[in-house]
Amino acid sequence: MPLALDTYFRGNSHEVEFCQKVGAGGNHVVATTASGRVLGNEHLRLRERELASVVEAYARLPKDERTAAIPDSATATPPKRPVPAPPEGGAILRGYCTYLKQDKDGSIERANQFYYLENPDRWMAETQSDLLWLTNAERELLIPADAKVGQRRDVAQAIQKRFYSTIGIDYMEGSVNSLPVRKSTMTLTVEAVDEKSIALRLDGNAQMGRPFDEKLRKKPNSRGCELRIVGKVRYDRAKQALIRFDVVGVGRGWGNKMEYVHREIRIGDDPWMYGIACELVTGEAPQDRIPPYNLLHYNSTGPYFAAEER
Amino acid sequence: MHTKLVWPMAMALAFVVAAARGGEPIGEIPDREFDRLISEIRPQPGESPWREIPWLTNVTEARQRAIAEDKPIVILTAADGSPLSRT
Repeated sequence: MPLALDTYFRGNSHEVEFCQKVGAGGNHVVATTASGRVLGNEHLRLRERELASVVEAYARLPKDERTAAIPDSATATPPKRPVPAPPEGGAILRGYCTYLKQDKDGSIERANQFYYLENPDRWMAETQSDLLWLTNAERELLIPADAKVGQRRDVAQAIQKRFYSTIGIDYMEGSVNSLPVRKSTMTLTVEAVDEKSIALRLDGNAQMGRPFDEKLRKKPNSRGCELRIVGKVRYDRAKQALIRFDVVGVGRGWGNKMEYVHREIRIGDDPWMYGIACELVTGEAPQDRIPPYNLLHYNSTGPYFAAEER
Repeated sequence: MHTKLVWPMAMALAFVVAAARGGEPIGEIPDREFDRLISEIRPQPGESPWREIPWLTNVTEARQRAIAEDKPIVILTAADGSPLSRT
């Protein structure tokens, strides 16, 4: 049974006690029975061979130990840090981020660079993922009530700020702060209207963080980026719901992202290219309902939602 | 698998110039490259198989289902955020 947890948001008192008992915390993988008997070695990895030994160890246990009852949740103390739920009636976008590079002939492709050149394990850059939440009111505001082809409107500043400062930045190193938006545009243009749906085009660009200065690359607090986006949005009139929200963005990042842990990215270029993409998700799968990263962590640009928006 | 995207020459040259100098506007993304560029940025097939696992995110639910299905639990934790988010 696969379970993924943010160490700081592991749940109610019973759930935290269980995690502490089996050592589920930090950056770690652990295997256990439902009753809390640890299986396998303490340096477990998500590898077939290691997990196979866990399954074998589990199978050797008596059935009553494998399926022992767990405490009643009703007797637990509520979580000290409850995990926020997506806004009711809102929308969830899943974002992606990766490095890009451009050939001499202008071709753009994914840049397969080592993530941290100075990391002894050296793993390849892996596409990062994050989420963006929109409230019900924000979602409704995106679609004009009397949509006509050619109609164009600016997207609310709160959405622009949230989008660009959290999933519009280069977040390839994971736990990085959101970046303040210095300047941004984001517009929606109605491209087609029929009795079933409304199709819109999203255009925008933004500048975040510190302005580029090649002399600041190794200086603290020098992160910055700029991004150009285009998107395709479709609204189902009968369902009164967004059914498509695909966005792609090409950006440039610069500065010293990780000076505090000395893991500065080294991909050769300064500035370097990155790309972002996002798509609508239903929120039905647990992994699509986890909170956006900067809602709970490293949000240096103010509240994720303005107080009146939820 | 990594496809290449070929931009119009004028756009490409503009982008090359812009890419060399931070602070200058990034060229528009041509409509005809939209789908291909999205595919380039989204996770590549087989890139992160661990992300394709149907992870649960609630301890009690995982324990209850492990008992019901008579299976062990594998717990993946991260210190700063969900391991299913930024890693």
